[in-house]
Amino acid sequence: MYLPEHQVYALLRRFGVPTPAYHLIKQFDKESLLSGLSFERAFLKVRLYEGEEREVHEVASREEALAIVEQVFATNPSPAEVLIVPAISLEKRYYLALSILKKRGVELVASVDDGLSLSEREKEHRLFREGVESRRLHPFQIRRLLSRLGITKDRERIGKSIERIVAAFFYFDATFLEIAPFGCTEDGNFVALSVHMEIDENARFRQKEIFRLARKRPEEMVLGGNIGCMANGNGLSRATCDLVRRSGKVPSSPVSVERNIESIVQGLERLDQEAGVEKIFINLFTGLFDCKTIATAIKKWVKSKKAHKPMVIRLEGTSATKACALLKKLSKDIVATTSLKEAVEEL
Amino acid sequence: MPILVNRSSRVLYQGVGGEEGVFDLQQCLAYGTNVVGIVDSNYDGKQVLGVPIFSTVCEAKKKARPNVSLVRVESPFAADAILEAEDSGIECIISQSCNLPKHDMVEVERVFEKNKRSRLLGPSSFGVITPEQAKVGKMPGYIFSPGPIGMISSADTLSYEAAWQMTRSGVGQSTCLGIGNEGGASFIDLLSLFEKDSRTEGVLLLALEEDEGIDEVISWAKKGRHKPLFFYIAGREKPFKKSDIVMIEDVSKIGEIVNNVKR
Repeated sequence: MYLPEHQVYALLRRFGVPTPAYHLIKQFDKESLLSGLSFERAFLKVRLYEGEEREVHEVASREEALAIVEQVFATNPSPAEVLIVPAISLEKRYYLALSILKKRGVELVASVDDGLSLSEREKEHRLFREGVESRRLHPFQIRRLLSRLGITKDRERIGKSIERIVAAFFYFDATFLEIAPFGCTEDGNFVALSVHMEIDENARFRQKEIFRLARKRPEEMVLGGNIGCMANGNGLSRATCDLVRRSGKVPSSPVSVERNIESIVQGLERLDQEAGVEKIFINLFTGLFDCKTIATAIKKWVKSKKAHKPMVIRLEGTSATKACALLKKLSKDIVATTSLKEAVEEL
Repeated sequence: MPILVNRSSRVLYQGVGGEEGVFDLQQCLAYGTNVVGIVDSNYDGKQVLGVPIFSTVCEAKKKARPNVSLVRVESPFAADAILEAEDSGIECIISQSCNLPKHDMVEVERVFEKNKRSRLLGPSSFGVITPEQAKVGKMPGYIFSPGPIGMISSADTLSYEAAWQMTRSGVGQSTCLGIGNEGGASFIDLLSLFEKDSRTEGVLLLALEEDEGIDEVISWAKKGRHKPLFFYIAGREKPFKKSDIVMIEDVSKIGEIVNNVKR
């Protein structure tokens, strides 16, 4: 889950991390925008609700900003959001990111932002890393970091901000937090200018408030498969697609179902509707779960349809043979077998 | 000796859950697994299916001496349950619980790494089974049969498919381990156990393409002599670099392939 940038600002501010002033625009209203906006140079961050894609424009005047805003709202039928962050001139720019590395725990990476890409800075050994143990950086780590970044002024204040950023990362169950750039303004104020934060979906139960604001990453759907695949379990779904591919056909995005009838019928309906799918391949390894229950549900679904796409059904588990016999009788458009090999040959 | 669980393992259930959980427990008992205790605050009686209930893992450890624990609580409580088992010094902790918050796992991994006294399989493990000796987890018992092949897998139903194919082809399994894909023991950690196990003559690995630790297996295999390795990676489209691992491409032929390789 990722959060809109202004929400991340709000979360960081709660921890006392300074963030810039901004205007959030959700609809185009020229009059109120003209009276409400005041800036000279600014960054316009355009985000469409559907999807994560974000465009950033640098503008030199209000008029230029308004023209872009107008165009965004005129050309996008889906709701959009424009965040205008007036430019702040930073004396020096820094990069800071926190992430979870399996086994190695949480790591903070920081560097001076000199315009080079991160990988180039990595090559030149100018990305500085600190492991975060026990949910905080030790004071010596912060001192070391500030020295490596060449920060000599306001060390205490900036150090405090880094400490708070780390605290926020843990408090909000973030898996990734990037501040690029943060920096000091000419009058000595520290500010986290551009921020990106990912929140762990598994922590939904203790981050309820954030999840009301969060946006789901759009699911990656690979359309155009001619064999609609359904299997139980993620691994078996992927393996089923592998088999379809090996037989020279193209699998759809697989439907991974649980051991419950409802999800199987829903998946079946989805594949039957999906454009491009010519045949449905159901591969269920049920173990102790009675296959007859599944066969009965499929039968009911088939009877409720005037027509449906041809199906190859492979069932293995308790009473699989009986279940297959029941399905075979149903229609000539249904092949049912307990053998995976045989099922693949029928595709 | 089978690895991790066997006939003499003393198993603790951390969390039984509702009806489905009782059914799973019943299946484990029917398989012959020596379940010595349950810790589950939702049951206030003295026992479930004849297995005594304890209020903490510490109490269970003292009175029932478990050496294997199966964690099957809801994900918000899973890290805590795992750490409780570790704190009591239970050697093998299997977490069937899944979708643990990543920050919780960071803490779990840190504690296991620091104390180095317990082994964690999972989260999202389907369990561990040593056929005809002990079944600790939700897998259906009848699809497994005793024999020379060790199995390590990150996926559940896919493992059942593989075990069933092997059993039908007449090649049994020494021990089958579910490792999930959220952390805990890696393929390599467990491969070395099979390597030392005299009953195991070959190892089948099942993974998803995005799993961690696949490349480590490939470089581990290059380092020296090892028992025959079979590897199926679901979703992998690019070909593998040359190695002496038998890469399985057709998942419908796992049984045949494993059975046909000379051991």
